[in-house]
Amino acid sequence: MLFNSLQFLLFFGVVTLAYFQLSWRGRWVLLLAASCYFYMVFKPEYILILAVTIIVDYFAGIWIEQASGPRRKAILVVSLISNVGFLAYFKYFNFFAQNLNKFLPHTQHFELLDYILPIGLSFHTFQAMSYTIEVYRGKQAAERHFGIYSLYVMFYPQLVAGPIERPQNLLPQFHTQFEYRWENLKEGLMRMAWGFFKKVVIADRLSVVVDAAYNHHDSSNGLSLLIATFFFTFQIYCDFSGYSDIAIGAARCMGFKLMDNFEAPYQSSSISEFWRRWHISLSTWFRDYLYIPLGGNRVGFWRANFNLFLVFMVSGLWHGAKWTFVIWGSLHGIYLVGARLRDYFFPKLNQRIPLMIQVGTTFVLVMLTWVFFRADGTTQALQILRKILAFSASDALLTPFNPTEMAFCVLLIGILLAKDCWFPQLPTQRNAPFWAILAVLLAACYFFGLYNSNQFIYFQF
Amino acid sequence: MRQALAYTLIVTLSLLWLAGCSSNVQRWLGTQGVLPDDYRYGDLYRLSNLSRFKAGRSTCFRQAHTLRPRVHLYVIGDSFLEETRIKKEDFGVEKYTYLHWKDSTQIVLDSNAVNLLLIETVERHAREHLAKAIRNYRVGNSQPETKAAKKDWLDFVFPTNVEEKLERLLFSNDIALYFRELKAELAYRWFGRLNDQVAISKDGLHLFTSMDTDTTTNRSSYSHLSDAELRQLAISAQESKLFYQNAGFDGVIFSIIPNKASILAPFDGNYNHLVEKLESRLSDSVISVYGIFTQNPSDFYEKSDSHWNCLGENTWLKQANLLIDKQLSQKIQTYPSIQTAK
Repeated sequence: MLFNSLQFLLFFGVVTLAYFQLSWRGRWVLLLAASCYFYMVFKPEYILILAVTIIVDYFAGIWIEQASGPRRKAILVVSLISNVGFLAYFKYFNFFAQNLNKFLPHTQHFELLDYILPIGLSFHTFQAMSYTIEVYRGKQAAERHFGIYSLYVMFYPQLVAGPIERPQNLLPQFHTQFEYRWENLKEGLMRMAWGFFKKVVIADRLSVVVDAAYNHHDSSNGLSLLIATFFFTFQIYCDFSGYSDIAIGAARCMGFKLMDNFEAPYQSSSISEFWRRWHISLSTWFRDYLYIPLGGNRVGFWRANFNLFLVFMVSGLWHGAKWTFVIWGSLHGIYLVGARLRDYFFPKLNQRIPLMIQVGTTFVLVMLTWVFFRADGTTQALQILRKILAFSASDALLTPFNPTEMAFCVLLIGILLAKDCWFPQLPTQRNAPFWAILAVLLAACYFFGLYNSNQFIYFQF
Repeated sequence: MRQALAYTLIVTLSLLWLAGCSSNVQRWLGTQGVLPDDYRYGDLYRLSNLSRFKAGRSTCFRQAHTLRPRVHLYVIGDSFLEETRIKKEDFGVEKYTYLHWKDSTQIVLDSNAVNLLLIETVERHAREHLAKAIRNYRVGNSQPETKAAKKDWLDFVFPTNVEEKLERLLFSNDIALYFRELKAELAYRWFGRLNDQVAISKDGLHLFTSMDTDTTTNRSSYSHLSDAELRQLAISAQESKLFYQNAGFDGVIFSIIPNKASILAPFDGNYNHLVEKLESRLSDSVISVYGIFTQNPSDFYEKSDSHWNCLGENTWLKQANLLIDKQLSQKIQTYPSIQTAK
């Protein structure tokens, strides 16, 4: 079920209230049952995929811990293959088949599979892989309680779109009997309210302009596409960070602490800083489980740069089985390698550039990559970029919004940036400001929210 | 105390959730008067929530038509002729069967009766409905067994349209409507934004379904209608008429109800005159109200609904019964024995 739905609000209310009426033994059962229901609302049959990966990884964790020598590695490999196997089959088979059919037409023709991608597959797969790898590295004890391990994979707030948690953070919390605390509830509700505001007021409103321009890019001019791309930069941030905030807030109400996934990414003064602030759970996952095993910064300069580019290319592919996502990830890889080369050959150059110019440049570079992320295909993306780069002052702004609504969108972006800059945490200590801000946010969500059943963008990954 | 409050909330939220999942519970709450009819102020008001177009739906009172013994009327129609609006007594027929366009069923015609078929469509769906052969009624020699649709246990645990049902349950009362109107007014005044399923006429006086005005589809009153397509629609309609006459019907009549926008705002766009053009090709087999409606356009449609009001309904019924009488008298002239022997 979508977070921005009445069904979820009732579900959340029932589950959270019931959680505190139960002892520890009842709590994990409740959360697991609730998480199963939450997932099955999308497509009931796909729970079987989760069940298989949970069973495989549960036993893999225990056997890895008990085994020694090459057998440990073999079990880990089997576990990783099963996880990556599901991902490869459901998410990437059609992509590779289409490309093989296109580029090797004289060889065997591959029939494409016809099914809906299991929701959250990329997220819970990575979270499960993190567990077996950490057990293998000896940094995490294997979880013996099958129900708790299942809950680790399926915990409903972060099941379908993260944050991608680490077992060291989450598993101990499932063994803890959290007492009800008013402070946690306030913190959680405020976080959820801000998340809803970002999603239904900002992201879904900006998406109207973005969709109008991108879905009719042939008839849109450079200015309209530039504005749409600028809006998409904030749409995707609000959509994804809004989801993360709702997930983190829902968990916090029950006492759980999930990791932060975003930290004001558009205040970054460099691309490497951007990736320390954007989708933090994914970027750290790739750092710890791909970049470092490839050698990290310990290998030679050129090898490290190649590894960095490779990791970001794979990160692009993780987002979706399309060349546009691969290009998007690769562009970030190129930016990062470019920055390293700049610092290597001209070490003092960056220090001479004022901070605001650095922030502005980073923003523009990131914004241009979002064209590939949003476009339907490479051809469309290139056409859009050509139009954006060639726009002239005589272009009229073609938008479905009237000037008041356009100004309102700019105001919303301003509120978002101001909040990121000056109020990273909304106040919850004192009751009066808490209730006042919560009421304002909820009223804004009601009166200015758009409820067109817009799915969260990252659900498709 | 806190625990009692928690349990009360759990039970309340769970009951609300259950009611949101179950159409049966909602129907029961409706019959008990707990859940108001969310169409009570009109289908267009329900979508737009604009208070300037809020009006109660009228209940139409009229006398039953004189009885027409041994006349069986079968209808294929839409919401204009739904069972809450038009009834058997309005035609005075011995047997009356209504079938919605989305359904189909097998029927057995009584050879001792005069069987008439009425095919009705609103203008915006006419091009879709009449473009292909009409076969909603399957005329057979025996009545098929009706099997109740089997429900999968998954449908019970994971029902569909939960969000819509919850919205109806929680936000269709008059207090919630006040806030919905406020929201709709804010969006319209500040952003010129409406629910995308409705449209307002250029003079701001009338509310339509956006299907009437959206020229990107062929449902709109203003979308282009070529002569070739018009010809094809007429041929298809005549073919369906011939099919049902051969199947045993004694008469087949058509009715195309004009779009609200065609009558109230024909000059807001380039009106394609589908109704007039198609009616002229269907000649004496069609119930026509277009000419009557255009004489006093503002008299025949509800302010807050896409359908006609009582005057519109009664006007159509009068024309329908006149045409039925004409069809029956033609039948008696051709087969005088019908009047006495049948």
